[in-house]
Amino acid sequence: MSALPRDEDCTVSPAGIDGAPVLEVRGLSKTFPVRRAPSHVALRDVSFSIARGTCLALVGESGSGKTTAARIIAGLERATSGTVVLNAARRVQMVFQDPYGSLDPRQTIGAGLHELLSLHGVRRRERAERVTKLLHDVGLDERHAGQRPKSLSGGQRQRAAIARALALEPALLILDEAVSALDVSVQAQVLNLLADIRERSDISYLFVSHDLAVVRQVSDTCVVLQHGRVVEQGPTADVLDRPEQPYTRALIDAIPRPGWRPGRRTDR
Amino acid sequence: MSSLLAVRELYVKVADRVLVDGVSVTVGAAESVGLVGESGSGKSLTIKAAMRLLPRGLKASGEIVFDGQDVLTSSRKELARYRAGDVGLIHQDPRAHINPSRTIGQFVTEGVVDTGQMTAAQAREAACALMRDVGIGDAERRMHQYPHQLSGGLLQRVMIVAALLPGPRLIFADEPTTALDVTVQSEVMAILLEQIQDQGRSLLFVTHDLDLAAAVTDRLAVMYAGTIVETGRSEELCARPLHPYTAGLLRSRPSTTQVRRLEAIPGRPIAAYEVGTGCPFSGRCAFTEDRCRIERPARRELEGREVACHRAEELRECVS
Amino acid sequence: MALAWSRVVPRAAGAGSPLLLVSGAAAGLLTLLAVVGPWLTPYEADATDVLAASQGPGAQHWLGTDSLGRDILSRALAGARLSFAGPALVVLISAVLGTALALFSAWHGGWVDRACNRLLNVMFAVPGILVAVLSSAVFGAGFWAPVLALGLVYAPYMARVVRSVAVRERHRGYVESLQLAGMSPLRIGLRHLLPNVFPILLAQATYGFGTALADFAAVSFLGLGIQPPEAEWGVMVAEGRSELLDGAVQQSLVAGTLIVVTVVAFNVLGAQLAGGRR
Repeated sequence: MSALPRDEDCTVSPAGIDGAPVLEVRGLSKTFPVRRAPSHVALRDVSFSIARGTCLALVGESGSGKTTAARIIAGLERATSGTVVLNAARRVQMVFQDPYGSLDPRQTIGAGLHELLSLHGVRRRERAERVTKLLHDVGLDERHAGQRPKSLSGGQRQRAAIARALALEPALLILDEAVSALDVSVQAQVLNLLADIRERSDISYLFVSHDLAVVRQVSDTCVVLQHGRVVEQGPTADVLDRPEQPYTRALIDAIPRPGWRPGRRTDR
Repeated sequence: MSSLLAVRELYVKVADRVLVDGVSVTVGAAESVGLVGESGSGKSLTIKAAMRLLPRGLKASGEIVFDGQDVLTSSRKELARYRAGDVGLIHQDPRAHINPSRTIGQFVTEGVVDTGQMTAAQAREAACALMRDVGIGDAERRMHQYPHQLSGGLLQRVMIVAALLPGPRLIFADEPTTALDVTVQSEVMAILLEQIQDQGRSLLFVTHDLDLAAAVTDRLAVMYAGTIVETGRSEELCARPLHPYTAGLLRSRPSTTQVRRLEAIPGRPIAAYEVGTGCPFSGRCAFTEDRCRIERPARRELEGREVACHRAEELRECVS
Repeated sequence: MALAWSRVVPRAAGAGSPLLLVSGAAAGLLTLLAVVGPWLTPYEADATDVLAASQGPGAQHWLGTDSLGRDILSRALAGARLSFAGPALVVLISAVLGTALALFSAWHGGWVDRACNRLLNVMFAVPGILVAVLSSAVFGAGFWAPVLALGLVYAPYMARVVRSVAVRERHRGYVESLQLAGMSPLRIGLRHLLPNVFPILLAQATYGFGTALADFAAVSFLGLGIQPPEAEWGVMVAEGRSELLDGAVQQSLVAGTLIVVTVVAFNVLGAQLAGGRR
């Protein structure tokens, strides 16, 4: 089911069972060897699951392991141990942070979508229609089909990257800081777009972000990671409104908002 | 109140493209001013121009007066004194702006030693004291370390120390915490504010984050497409924006406490050279009428603030 | 090659560097000469005229004649094709080998990449001309032995440059999302990575062509490459050597100058193409 082979103790089962969570992650650990130094533990025993049609947010600061977890789930990285079970027939797709790297600079948006659809056996006659619909679905139109990434804005590029991911009708879409590099006014457009897509399909999201306000906006449940460990998880509203762990509290308190004052942490 | 820094009708151009389109902003003594905008708004170029640090090929015109002296026309010598002693600059990415092959101590002290403000020994002592003030433990050891041995948050504190050491009256901070985690951002901003307020220094703070800017400054100037569209006292401006763009920015941002459909501003932020004859925001504004497309609104006073919108009075109620 | 010519060349030229224009024009003109040169010869390239031997430049023979009375201009024009064909094949072989190795190495990363790097470092230590000479000694002098040997020796230079760009592209979002879309690594490499490393490949190939031309001519000069009486610039320099003692410098001078000008033109053009990309 995945583009890369995994270690033997890390399995992916493509069986589609209704009612079962679309994704189950159990005991995921990842260690990166470091030359002439103790190896770096990026993930320790991380477990969570995503219910079908919902959005789970992986939250944490830099070095928390959230991107590593996402890449393992996508199949771009191997886990050291643990299991990732995808209960769906369709594969996982991913949208990346950097709008400037997420599209082939030498390919027009339309040609890229055609290529993906043909790769998945969509007949030539149907392709043009599908491309038009995909572009429309993400708020682009035919004019953009003939353009290369260079002539698109950051927001338009992320829309195109989302269209590419949706072309393969994934059961789970991984968004790795997908709106973080966008201007606030454009970020709101893309967040609304993601909400619209979810409304009209049964797609599930794994949303990786450091931004708790954005996480509150898009996710149903969230997992807070610190140094590769799950600190806290649950429904997003509960975790953000009534955090149980001091680390989660500190993350929330650090977000600028009306009436907020920056403060030095006392525990350091 | 006489201002410490007065930028008047600043234009920055590259060839015949306008990037900063007539910006006027002042910073008073011991005042903190925020310059807020999205990409292409010209906010960073404004402070680069104020330091005369524009990239090659960019030409600034207008007036930038610091303590009675025009920065744009000052001589090499005056400029060197101004940069070394009167103002300090904190960049967004400390790792890109600190020489990786020199120690922290060398980086922090070289400016003041070079200009003869302090001897090497005095500089080291002052730097260590300042490092302790900004929460860098074991300052002595840190002085001998290299940039790659420090985390981003620590390195940004080092940058703050370097900027503060000559005792500048005005600090320019260009997105100083954008590359940092939120908890580190909170800490670094607290430290920066402490240092500025305790010593009665002034701050010109450039950021894309309206909430952060409002929390740490006295006054805000909101920039769009190379111009300032609204200025005012920080709390007032955020609580009751007068310009549709400011209001749109505030509504675009999701909240940590509630979920509602975001009222996104359509389109994308544009650069000054993409603006036609009318209001720069007319292409994205929900309240645009014919006049907005034809005639450029001037900045004018309203409720003790300044706003560049033809319809500011009539929209007062529906915008905010 | 619908790949990138149309976009690489104008973009580099857009930088408007006069050096680029001059070296580009010189390289283009010389290449044109190599293609059509053999049809432009005023005399048969191997037609001897003992009565007109060892003449200096004149109205009959613009660049003079050699000791057998052959027209030097004709031989230089006729020899251009062989002089270019050798290094062109060297570049082609090394580009294919080098790019394949570079993309393979960049795609897999980790220990595969490290092993490939070791291999390249070993290959860098071997001087190209030595391998060419050895291969001629083993497989016999001629066109193919030095071409194949130099093609192999030049491959690491291609590989190193292409790999540096390929590694950067490898982990861009567009490559990884194609991987997730289930596209085969081979197809991603050929359809997506190759076009994006092509500009640097072209620059390095241009640069390598100049160097290969000099090496190839040197092998022929040593008598291990193209064999007289075939016309080729390296051969001409060698044949002119004995004439130097008689004071007839024209053959060595003409062939030598052509080699130097070509090498410089392609080296400069290659460097300009590489520089203009950033």
